[in-house]
Amino acid sequence: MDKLIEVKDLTFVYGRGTKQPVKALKNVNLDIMRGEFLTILGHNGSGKSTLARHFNGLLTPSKGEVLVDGISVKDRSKLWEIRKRVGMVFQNPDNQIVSTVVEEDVAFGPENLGIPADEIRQRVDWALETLNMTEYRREEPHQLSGGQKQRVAIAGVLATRPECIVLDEPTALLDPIGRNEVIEAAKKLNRDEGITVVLITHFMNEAIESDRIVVMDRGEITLSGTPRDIFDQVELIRELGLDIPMATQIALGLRQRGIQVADHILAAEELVNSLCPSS
Amino acid sequence: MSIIVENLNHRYKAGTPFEKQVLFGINLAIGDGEFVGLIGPTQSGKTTLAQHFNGLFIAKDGKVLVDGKNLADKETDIVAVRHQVGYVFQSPEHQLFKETVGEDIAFGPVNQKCSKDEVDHRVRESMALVGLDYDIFYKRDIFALSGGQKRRAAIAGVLAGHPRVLVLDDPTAGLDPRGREEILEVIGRLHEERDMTIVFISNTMEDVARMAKRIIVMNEGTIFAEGATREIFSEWEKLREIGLGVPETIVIMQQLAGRGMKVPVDTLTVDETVEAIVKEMTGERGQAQWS
Repeated sequence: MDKLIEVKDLTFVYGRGTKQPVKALKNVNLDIMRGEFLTILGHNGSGKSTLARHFNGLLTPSKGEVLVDGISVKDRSKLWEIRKRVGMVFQNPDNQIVSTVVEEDVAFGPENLGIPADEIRQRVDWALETLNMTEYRREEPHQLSGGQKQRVAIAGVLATRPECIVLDEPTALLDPIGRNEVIEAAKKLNRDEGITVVLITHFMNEAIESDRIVVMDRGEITLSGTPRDIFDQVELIRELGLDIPMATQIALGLRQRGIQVADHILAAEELVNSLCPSS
Repeated sequence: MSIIVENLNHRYKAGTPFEKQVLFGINLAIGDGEFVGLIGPTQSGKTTLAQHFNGLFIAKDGKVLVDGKNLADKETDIVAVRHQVGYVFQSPEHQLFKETVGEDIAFGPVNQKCSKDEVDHRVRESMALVGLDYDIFYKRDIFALSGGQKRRAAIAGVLAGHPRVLVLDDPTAGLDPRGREEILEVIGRLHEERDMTIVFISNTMEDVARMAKRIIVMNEGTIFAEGATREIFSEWEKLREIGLGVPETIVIMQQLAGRGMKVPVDTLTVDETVEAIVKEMTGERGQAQWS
């Protein structure tokens, strides 16, 4: 795998030149590989979103460098090139929907890129199909559920055919099924379409199937590893204001009470299989 | 302070071609000092219903009684009701509008024309209730707060109005695990120590399971189910049908039970789940089975 996004010694300061500058990122180094599913965890204010907003040039480094497919985000003349490669989806779907019909909303991105009309049609159909939203294409977005709205927002980004989609707390305001729909959609884009996915979340369960987790703390990357590596460090994770998945918590509790449980339990099924192997 | 809702219907944009009914014949009673969880899929009517509890919506079709007073009656002092029934909106930190924490929390009592001493007393008391140290945070710039701190400051602002009932709309959404834990502790304390009636709207079933004693489930503008927390979550198939889940503890216990382990399938917290599994597994080892 080669590098899609390279972050080199990135420092970012909000309010530079004011009385109260805040250093939100301090010398961050990170490579994101093409095709990777990366989850970024960290407490509120740890710098997750600030970091992610450099990936498509919404922010530019105060110091250091961010390269997307080799292009520097500091080169403002290449901004379109960068945004074609990296799309962003945010927390609140209501703030991201611009049109009164689902398929028009999905078409907004490719229209802005100046794609020919018949290709826009193809892309919109494909994006809606991929997100399982085809049957809603003529609906008004505000009539949809939270999970459906968020999938429309993702389809809109997908229709620009990016290499990478950054999802910044996409499930924070959704109900349980909506949450599940969005996470499954992200996994599908990664698995079937080969899209690099960067997921920012506060729900530990959503991180357990990623290829890699990066944990941020006060503007720095403090941990990086597979979900197993990360959630094995229970004490440290809790010190950082985070938690471990519920099944992992139960496994830990059982082990402390002398019950034998397999190591590295992350998902409910793993715990069940360990306690009660299916015959 | 009780809340009673009788045959409540609500229509958005009533009388226009865009009219849409969002609440259908709602009947419910929330008793003084209860802790009620209000859950349901997005757009099921949870927020619209809850906004009737303090007169943000006044019933045009049906009745809402707070402490026996019909909110639609002209004699009812709706401003007083809004102080008695505090409403914490989703992402309430967006409503912080003063420069410092202290000024923001003082806004309500100042508007209530409280004396200077009373304002100060209420600000101190509210900050203590949400765990924001007065000396450290009183003069702190709102923008210098973390997400969890902002949310606690916003809740303190509502508490400064001295409500007896607190309605919270998804108060932990978007918070990190520590911030979530802090907010849940504050809410638990208000209920336990101050006997406040709590209406807790949430999308996180694990939080509802842990906090609420009784649950009201909304779906498509109607009350889909209502009952003790354990009873509601043991009906997981019905909840899943309408787009809700159950806490992961219950998912795990159901799967274990499905494979023949004799465990209860209604454990609501991690500790309860661990206890139940330990009991079953060590019980098995320790006791001979006689038939």
